[in-house]
Amino acid sequence: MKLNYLLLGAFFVIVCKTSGAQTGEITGRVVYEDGGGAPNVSVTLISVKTRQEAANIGSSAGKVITDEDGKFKFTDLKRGVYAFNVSGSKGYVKESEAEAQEQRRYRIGDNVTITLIRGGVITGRVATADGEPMIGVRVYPVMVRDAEGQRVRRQSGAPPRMTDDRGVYRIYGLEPGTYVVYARPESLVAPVSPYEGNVATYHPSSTRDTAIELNVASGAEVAGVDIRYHGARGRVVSGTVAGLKEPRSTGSFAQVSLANLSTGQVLAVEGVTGANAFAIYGVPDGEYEISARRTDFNSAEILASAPRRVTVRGADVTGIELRLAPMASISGKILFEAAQNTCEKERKATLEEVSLLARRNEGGAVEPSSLLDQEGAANDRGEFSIYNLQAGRYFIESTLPSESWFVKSITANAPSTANARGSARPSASTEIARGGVALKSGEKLTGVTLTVAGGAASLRGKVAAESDSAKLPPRLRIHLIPAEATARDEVLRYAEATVRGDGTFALNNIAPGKYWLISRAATDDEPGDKQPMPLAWDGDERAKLRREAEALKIEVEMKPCQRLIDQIIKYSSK
Amino acid sequence: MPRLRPTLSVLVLLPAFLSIQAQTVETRPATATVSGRVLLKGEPTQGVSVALQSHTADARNQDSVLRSRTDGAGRFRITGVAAGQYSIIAFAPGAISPSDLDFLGKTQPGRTIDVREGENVESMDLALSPGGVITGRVTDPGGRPFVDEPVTLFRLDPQAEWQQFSGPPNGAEMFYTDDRGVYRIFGLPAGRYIISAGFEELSGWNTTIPNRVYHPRAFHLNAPDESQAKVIDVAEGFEATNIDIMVGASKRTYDLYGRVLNADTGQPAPGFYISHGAVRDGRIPYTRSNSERSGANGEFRVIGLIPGKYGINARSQMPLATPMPARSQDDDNLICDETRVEITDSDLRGVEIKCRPGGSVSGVVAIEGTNDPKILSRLSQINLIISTSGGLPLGPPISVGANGSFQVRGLARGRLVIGLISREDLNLRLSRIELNGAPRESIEINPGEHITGLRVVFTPEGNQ
Repeated sequence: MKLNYLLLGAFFVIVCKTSGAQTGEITGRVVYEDGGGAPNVSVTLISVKTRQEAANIGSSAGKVITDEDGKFKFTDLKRGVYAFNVSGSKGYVKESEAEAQEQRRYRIGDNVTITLIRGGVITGRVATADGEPMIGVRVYPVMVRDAEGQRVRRQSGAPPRMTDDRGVYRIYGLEPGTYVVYARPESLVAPVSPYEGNVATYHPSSTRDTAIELNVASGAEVAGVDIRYHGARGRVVSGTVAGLKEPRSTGSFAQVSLANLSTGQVLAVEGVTGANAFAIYGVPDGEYEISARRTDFNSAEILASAPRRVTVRGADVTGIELRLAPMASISGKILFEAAQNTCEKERKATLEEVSLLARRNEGGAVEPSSLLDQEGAANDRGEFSIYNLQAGRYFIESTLPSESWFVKSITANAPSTANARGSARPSASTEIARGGVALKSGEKLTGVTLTVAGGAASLRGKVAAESDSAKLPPRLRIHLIPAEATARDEVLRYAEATVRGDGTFALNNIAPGKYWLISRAATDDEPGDKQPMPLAWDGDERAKLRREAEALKIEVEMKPCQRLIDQIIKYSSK
Repeated sequence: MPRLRPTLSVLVLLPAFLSIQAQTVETRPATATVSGRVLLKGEPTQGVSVALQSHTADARNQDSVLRSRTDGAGRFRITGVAAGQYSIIAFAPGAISPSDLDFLGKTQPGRTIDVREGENVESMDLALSPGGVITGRVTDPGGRPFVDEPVTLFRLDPQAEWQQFSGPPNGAEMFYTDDRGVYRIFGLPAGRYIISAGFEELSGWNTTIPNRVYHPRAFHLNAPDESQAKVIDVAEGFEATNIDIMVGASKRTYDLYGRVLNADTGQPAPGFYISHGAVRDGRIPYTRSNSERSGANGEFRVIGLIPGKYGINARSQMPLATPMPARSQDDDNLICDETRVEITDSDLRGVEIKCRPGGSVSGVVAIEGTNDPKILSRLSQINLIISTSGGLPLGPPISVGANGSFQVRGLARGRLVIGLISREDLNLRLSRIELNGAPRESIEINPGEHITGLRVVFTPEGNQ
């Protein structure tokens, strides 16, 4: 294995740096649903690499405002991977990422269209137990399910709104989905909170568990969402944070967050005081997870504590000690294998345009306070690091800058044992695409090699219903399974994508070869706010998928550089 | 005519301060009592909640707030109060307490009281008055709602001037329209008000906006300026409805592109700060400068200018600022001429700002009128700010050499202005200026002129 690797290495060519200094532009337009341009919308461009280096503190590559026709342009951009942040505007919201079903990444030369749809409205009145209006208090929307009915854990983009002198609030600019709303008693128009209690009251007059969920459609108004404040007092959850570096640098801050274990909702994020202490007030009874995090503007890496369970039952919980520790990371190199196949009209792409995602795949629910998947981007030599990983098993996903590229292998250095003289032997590499890689807390894994080759194929098509009268299930995924018997465990050759509402799908960056296609309904329990974990990452699921696809026998052969565009497959519910 | 006076928003830093003390738990005997009445329009009022909050407790800790409710005689009584400083507030729906009105400028919100151990604070009368409301809808000339935009409220003050009224420090949200264009401002003291929405384009101060499209400001109902604004009379507890505003028809902003050049050599001048100001009656009352500097080819841009006449200028350094590194010494000496432009209905390209070497002055500083070596030794602490009547000083203050020598370059034409700055009070004052041994009342600098042999004489404060 080792010999094989070294031999292959001789044929590897790292894409040269010549294009590294090139700059270019990304243009785009923000439109309303009717296609009309949306003016005065703030568009922020984020460089994945810069964001990563600035410890995920939204550092941007620039911010522009759309012109009267909704157009915008970013110029003088270095080659790299970019993402957009378009905030909702004037009651309009971005068509949800879930709808687009792709984690959008952009590169220079791209032209982008961002669609805004009308947000929804929730309005009602907040009153005390005596029926008096609660004035100047905030009412918060919490999205619990997206427009497709899948549960989400991200906080809604719509800000809380303040009640007026009649206790009336009006939250607008809500993304379509299912919401609960709650009021807090702190009044913004009084110097001292005039209302008893410190626990949030959900509509209609309840705790989170019994809150009534509200469906909000684009442009729709849900009225009469009144809240009768119950004025309960919560408990205090307090303790200390250990492991803060001293002296504290000016660019760093530590926070403690408390999340509800069953809903995933973050109840509070509190700063850590000078005495390394924290206190979270107004915590209702329940099961929580608490964790601390320290972010430093001058470092790509954060410190984090292991999440801890906290049960609040009728009493304060004090003396919690959270210990900050360095997090794990993965670093390595992207290699471009000398192209045997160069496709026509291929976009000239460079390694710094590859983005990588380390995804923690634990199976089952992930703790609410866990850090989400971490992204990294390579430099012009293909070197990358992905920081801030919790302990766990990780898979590496990539988005490639050219339709003609595919990922051929992902390997890691096998754990090297230092010999008696202390010099490390060159270690053998092991394949980590199939089973991922297990990281221990704080482990710095180096020497990961992601090999990219040219000549990839792509496949576009449509899933048709079983019969003319039948409808497609609401959430379908399309799977591509390598058909060769030897490819059974070649996880990188498996691919899957979400089928859009109109039945169309696109699978890109496919290694040439024989494949089976199968479409399957997504499971109900998948969170809507992130891409589901590919089934192929699980050995049993992979085998099952393969058996089903083999039985269905929808076979396609993908030739190098082939662009299949009209593939129609019939959905089978079996 | 009453003038509009915007107020500065004041940050209330109290909660941040308190949170730092969150963990200092003090246990003092809680034996004091605070009691009194709540009066609404001078009448004792039942059922009003009264809250007493310690200034040393964590503001987020609701358990630290002591509460009471007024009885049939409007009386409240809070017992078990520890010694310390407190804020006390009465809160009735729709009512305002007079202390709320002068939030701005107060460091502690609410009414502050000091309570000593075991003290019986009686007769705390808290007066409330019914608050007024102004509500209405803001639209553009096409009748479309003006969404998520601020409205600006002005109240006539006793000096007959329109003062911006911004309400309680955290209540800014009520000054914004919702998705229907509706706003509702409450808790208003009785008085006369005018209200506006949209972009104030005629001030000469607001010349660029981030938005590419804007609606010019209008006062209720559609008055372009305050002199024609319809005045809203709000009596105690009065609700003024349908106070609608129609902002002006949408306009767009334009960009200006140009270059900064050394007019003598024709070379680009990189790294210059660009400033611009709107021309009003032939003058430029305000000058704005963003941190953007001219690029390697002297190129610059000003984004989002509203149509109008402008003066554009460039400076090698910001006034009194430490120069940025990696700049050409020669460029530091350049003085630029203001360029006048007009933006009408398109972006403006090819604007040139021409710069020429400025004048210079060199000489020595001396201290006279004393033999006290302590005072004489202050020479090295002297920093001079030298400019001319033709422009602001460039760069940081000039330090004086051990022998009192100094030099300053990049001076615009005009009369020389010399100032003294130091970290400590040197007790020195400028006594006279000599040029080549002869005292001078004033010194004129012609364009690019180099003046040497200046002597700047300081004497100890108090000496004649």
